[in-house]
Amino acid sequence: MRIGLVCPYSFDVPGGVQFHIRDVAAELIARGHAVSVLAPAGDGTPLPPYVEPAGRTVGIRYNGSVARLNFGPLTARRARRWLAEGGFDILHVHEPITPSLAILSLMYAQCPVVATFHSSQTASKVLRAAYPLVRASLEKISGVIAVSEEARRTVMDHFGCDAVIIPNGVRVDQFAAAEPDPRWLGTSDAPVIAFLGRIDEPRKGLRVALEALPAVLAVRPGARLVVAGAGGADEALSRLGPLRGSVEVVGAITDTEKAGLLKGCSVYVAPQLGGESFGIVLVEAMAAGAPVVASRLAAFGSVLDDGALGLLFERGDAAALSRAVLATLDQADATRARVARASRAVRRYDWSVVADRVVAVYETVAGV
Amino acid sequence: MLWTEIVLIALVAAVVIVALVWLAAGRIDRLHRRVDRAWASLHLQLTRRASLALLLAHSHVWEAEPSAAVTAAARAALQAPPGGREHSDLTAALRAAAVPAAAPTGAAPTGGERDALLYDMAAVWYRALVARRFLNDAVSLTRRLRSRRLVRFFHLAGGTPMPATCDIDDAPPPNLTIA
Repeated sequence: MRIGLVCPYSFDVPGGVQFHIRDVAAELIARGHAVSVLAPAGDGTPLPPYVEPAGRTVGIRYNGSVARLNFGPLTARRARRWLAEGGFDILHVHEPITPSLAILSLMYAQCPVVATFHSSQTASKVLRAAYPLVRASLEKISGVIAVSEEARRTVMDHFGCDAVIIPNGVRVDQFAAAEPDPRWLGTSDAPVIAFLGRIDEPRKGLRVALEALPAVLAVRPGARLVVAGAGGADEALSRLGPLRGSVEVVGAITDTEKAGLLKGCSVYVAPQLGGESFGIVLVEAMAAGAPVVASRLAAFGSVLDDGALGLLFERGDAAALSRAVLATLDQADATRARVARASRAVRRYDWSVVADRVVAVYETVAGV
Repeated sequence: MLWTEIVLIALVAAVVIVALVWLAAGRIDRLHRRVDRAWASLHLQLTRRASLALLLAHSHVWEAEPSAAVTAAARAALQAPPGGREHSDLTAALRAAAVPAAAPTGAAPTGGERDALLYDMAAVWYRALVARRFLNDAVSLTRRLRSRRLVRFFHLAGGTPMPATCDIDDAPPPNLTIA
């Protein structure tokens, strides 16, 4: 099929939606589809060959952050030409309600359209005001995809239609082949416990991990909790007190560092208190071969196959978390068996499988 | 008020109403075509599902009795319109016959013809679920627009009957790992 993908956010600044589109595009091309991505990008940005730059972006304050978008007559002309020259069988627009390339290409689209909603934010006032103007264009979308249950709820609340859930994929091989980062390499004397997630967001459960640490240290005095994530690192450090020597707060890390941390750590803990729709980091940890200990949330339980692929503990229970961490460290054989099962099971989240569903949606909408 | 002003206001009002009607008519027309395409796509997937069920029934997956039940239900479904209850009957027959465990998700079929059939069945079943969801979305948008006063007053839907959602039973058998 000839597939046109529209990314409203600039490739100059990488982000979740851009990575998603890049990974889907690579997988579709590997399957022999002709793919072109229309995305904002400056002249200097190196781009994959399948990306058609739609010009520089303007920073716009939107929902409390600055979104880099582009529009205007020049962008409109480029979008129209891209559509005309592409002769697409399917146009796949991401985040279709952003006031930019997404809306422009929807306006000009003549072929069947699929749209993916990524965010679960509530629509801003501006958006609600603009909705009547773009409603006719949105009605061109024959198939709506949401990346999570939250995103699906947003679609239902604001547009009154349902969506098919297709989660983000993970590049399993990339995590499996990663080199362990020497800074965070766990050994039996100095095991590394990894935590990933925003530090200042209570529902990520860092507090539970910190409360569980003393009981782990009592048995394994060389253990270290490595905390990776954006937000309030200094404040977190200042509140550590006596634990300070056993906690390393590294702040936000790159994707390569994340893979290296997961690859080298002795155990990955996910003490989230709720609000998780999927748990992509669990999947990444399993792909990297890290033993997983996670709170018993519905989403985590299903990713970990009810405990067969990683240990589950009662949500918010620090004592249970420290017991699970010690069990993971002490019972090496059982842990190895779980990790082996997990690295097989995790394949179902690989992009190669997730892309099957995307193609199924394309074929359904195109009626082939 | 001068008569020229009255004429001017009437003209402006007329232009606005014509523009609104024209826009609404375009939206209705496009939604009707979207509903038609969605029905066609669902029909295609359900026909494929019935054909695969027929092939499965002939590949010695089941004992004689469930095989006969699936064969009869699949033949009926092949003749039926996409919204027909024959498709729900086929779903029930497949569930009752207990589809054997298929190859794990994502794994390409390794073994014989039976695995290949089950793999295809899972793929087609997923497409049928997706097609029905997209159809029902299109139908509910169309119904909402057609219930508006402007649309009703000017008969913008013409003679096209009000579209109805498709409510067949398509819950997959427990062993069939859908996509």
